Amino acid sequence: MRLGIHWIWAGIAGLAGGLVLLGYFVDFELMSQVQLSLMEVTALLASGALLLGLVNLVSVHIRKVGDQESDWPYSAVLVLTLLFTLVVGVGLGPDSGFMLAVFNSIQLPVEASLMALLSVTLIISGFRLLQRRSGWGSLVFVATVLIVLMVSAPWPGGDQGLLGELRAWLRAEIVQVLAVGGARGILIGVALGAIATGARVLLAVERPYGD
Amino acid sequence: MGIEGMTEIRCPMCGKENPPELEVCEFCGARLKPMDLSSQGAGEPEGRPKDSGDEPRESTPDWLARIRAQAEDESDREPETQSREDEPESPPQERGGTGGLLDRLGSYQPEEAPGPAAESRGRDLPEATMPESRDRADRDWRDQLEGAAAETGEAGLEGASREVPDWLKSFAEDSEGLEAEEVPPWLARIRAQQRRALQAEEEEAKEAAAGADEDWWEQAMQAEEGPSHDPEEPTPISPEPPDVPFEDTGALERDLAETADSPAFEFPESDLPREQVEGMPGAEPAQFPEAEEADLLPDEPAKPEETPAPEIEVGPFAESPPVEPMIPEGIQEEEPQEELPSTPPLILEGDESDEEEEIEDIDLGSIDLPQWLGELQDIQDSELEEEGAGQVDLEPAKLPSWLEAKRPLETIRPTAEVEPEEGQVVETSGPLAGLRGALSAEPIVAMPRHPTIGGKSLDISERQYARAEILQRMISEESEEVEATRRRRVAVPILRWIVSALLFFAVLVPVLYKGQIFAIPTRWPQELAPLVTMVEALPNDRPMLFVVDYDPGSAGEMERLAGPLLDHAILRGMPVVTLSSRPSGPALSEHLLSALNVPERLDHGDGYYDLGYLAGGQTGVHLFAASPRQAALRGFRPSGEESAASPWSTQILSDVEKLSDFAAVVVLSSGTESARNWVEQTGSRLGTRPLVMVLTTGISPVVRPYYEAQQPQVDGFLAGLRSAVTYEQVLGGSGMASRLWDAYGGGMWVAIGALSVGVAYGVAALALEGRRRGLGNA
Repeated sequence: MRLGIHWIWAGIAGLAGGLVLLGYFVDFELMSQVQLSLMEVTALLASGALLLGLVNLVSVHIRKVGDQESDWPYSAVLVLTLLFTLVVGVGLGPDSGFMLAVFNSIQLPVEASLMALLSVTLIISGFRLLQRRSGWGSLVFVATVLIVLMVSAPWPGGDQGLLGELRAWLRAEIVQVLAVGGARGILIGVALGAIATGARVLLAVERPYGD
Repeated sequence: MGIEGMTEIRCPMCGKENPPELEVCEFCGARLKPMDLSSQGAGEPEGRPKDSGDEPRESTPDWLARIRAQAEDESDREPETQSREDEPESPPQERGGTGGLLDRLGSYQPEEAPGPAAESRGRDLPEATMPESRDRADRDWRDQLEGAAAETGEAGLEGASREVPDWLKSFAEDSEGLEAEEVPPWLARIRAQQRRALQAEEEEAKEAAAGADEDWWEQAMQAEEGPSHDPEEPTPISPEPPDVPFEDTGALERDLAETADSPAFEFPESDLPREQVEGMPGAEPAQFPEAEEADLLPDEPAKPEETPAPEIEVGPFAESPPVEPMIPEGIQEEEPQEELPSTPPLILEGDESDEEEEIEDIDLGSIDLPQWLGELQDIQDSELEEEGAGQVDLEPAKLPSWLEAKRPLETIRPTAEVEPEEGQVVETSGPLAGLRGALSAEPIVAMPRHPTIGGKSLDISERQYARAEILQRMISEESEEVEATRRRRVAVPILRWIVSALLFFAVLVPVLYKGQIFAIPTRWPQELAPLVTMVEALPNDRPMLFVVDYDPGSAGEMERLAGPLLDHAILRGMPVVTLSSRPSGPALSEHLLSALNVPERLDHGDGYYDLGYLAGGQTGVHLFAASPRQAALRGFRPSGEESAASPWSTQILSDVEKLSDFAAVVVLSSGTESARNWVEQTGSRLGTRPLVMVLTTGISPVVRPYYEAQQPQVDGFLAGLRSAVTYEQVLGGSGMASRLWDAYGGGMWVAIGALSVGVAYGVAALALEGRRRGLGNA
């Protein structure tokens, strides 16, 4: 077996991961300090990675503009606005009144409008679901959506009466039992995946840092 | 014929003046003095073979003696005629008797025909150009003739040849008178040629008459009197001349004269053998050496197109078959031996005409060929006619200039240059031995050449290659099948517009409408009461940390959800500190505080503070949970206050060393990841401090397991607008959530209505389709 340089990186990654993981289970001051030190380095590297990502984003869109690729005007707008906010943010600071005004006047309404459009899109998709993909699965799906909406939506008569009780019961059973049961399964799956991935990285079976 | 007394003698052939002592023209070699063969019977020329015709010439017959005597008498009586006879350019009409007739026969020989026929008359070929061997033989032959002429003198048949009838004399006089008049040049030239020819033939006739054999003459006369033959029919040649006695020469001459004057006369082809015809006196055109070669081949009959009738006055004798001249036997035997070596081995283009003319001069019809050879000759003639008819005068092909330019040099074969005859090599071996100019195959076949097919690759430039690529692309595009592009139908999103309009109307009307459309929920959610209880139990001397980890798009919902809780904390007098693990979090925090009028109600740094952005994501959360002071180094200060001071030096955060120093951590999240991060990274660091999750309705099921566990990691849970409205009702007022309740209800019901219509439509469609299928199956 040839000992390559990738084993050095694998050893470093396994050692750092093991120390951080050990810090969760061992209540030892030195161990906690080592864990925090490693995580600070990680946070610092993450910030640098964010900056590199920003540079990469700018270069990609500048190339698209230079090559006149499809939708290059959007790339041009992105680059221009990014440079503008970067210059203003570095110059005036991210907490300046101008930057807040830009955020409150542009970014916040735009993203809120997108969320509103999402609601319209979902309604139309539900409307056409049975027409496009007819079947029992689609019918059950749409029926469930209708039921959840009806039990969640405010009624003109309020929650009073038997109907109110029925809606409350249905809402609790659907949202707090069925949905939570499904969510738990998702969370357990995510946890198992994270453990497996961590174990592979610690054992150098998977080397996201490269060979 | 003697011409003494004259200073110069005009050559009858070339017309040039020669000294009187010369026997032969010094220019053309033609004989100047006609040889009188009438006296040949008395003496033989030297060197003549004694075994050929000696006996007939030694014993002169009676009829010949009478003719000679008559000729001598007439020469004495007609001196003027004799003088005219001496005139070389005298027309043939001046001559009479048999000699005139024979002269006329000779005059219709093809004069214009070049080659041997012309040489026979000694006009075109000078003596200097003759081959040496031929020249030597000719001189011997001429010497013999001169010797014979000297012995015989001027007697003989000259007198007989001058016998001209009266009618012919008058015609000759008329001709002389016409010549005296002005004639056009072309006519003068024709007449001059005609005179020269006639003169030559006259001399030949004289010589022939002198040496004619009696039997041959009789046979010729009999042939003339016999039935006419087809000119095309070959004349049979008998090996030996028949021995026919000569009877009446005068009658024969008269018959010939009458026949010649008759316009409808067609000279019959003689049935006599070739040897007999050659021996005829009138058939021998001349005794010049140049005529020997021509005499070997029979003269071609005069062609009408070559000698126009009105100009030359071609008589009926023009159609007569050629008459072979009489040639001494010794010469006849010697000629083939001398001529064969001089035959060029290679016939070039220039010589082909001569050869063809020689071939044409040979009257094959006069040769008695075997039957099988005659059939073969007919077949060859028919093939030649077909080839001649099939030949088309095609112009040689020419390559276009552009193609000629692209033609590789290797493909151009060197042009084979035909060397002149002198430079051609005589074949020394093989079946072509002795031939000159035979094509040698070796220089062409063995010539090294480059292969002309596929020997080189195409050498093109980049530009040409690019053009070829474009052309190929164009061709390939043309051959490709183009799919019919569907014309995109301009579809108006009516459904979207309707749904959008309904939603907008359903949301806008409740906002504008001041009344309450949907009843405020009175039934508390299950998790609200513990939360309210928990907040009420929190210590108010410690700041409550609000983590703003939601997107700007979710700000509308999250601000309504966080509003009651934040109001509750402010109402309790708890300082509020905000933090965000998202880049847009600090601005959203400021927007949230502004929406709840916190800056107006609290002092910055004292009642509330914004720690700003916490970098590092999950790691940053872990660091902040482990050591808040080391993780958050700089606060978000929109007003510029306390810019130089650390956030941890403010009054609100001065007592915070660790996460558990906060009264509670409230995570405002619209995403499951950030909620889990805070749950997983801060659980062990919070100690007894509660962790509250304020979530949107969408992610609440994902986080609820942390809340509903036996050992919950989330201590408080607030999700959905219904809980917020209820919370506000608990707080005893109507907040932002309550104001959106009607709009929220309207939107929900529009969505319910749209989906219901869609489901009904889909179910109906499914039912109809199933019914159709059922009907179809039935």
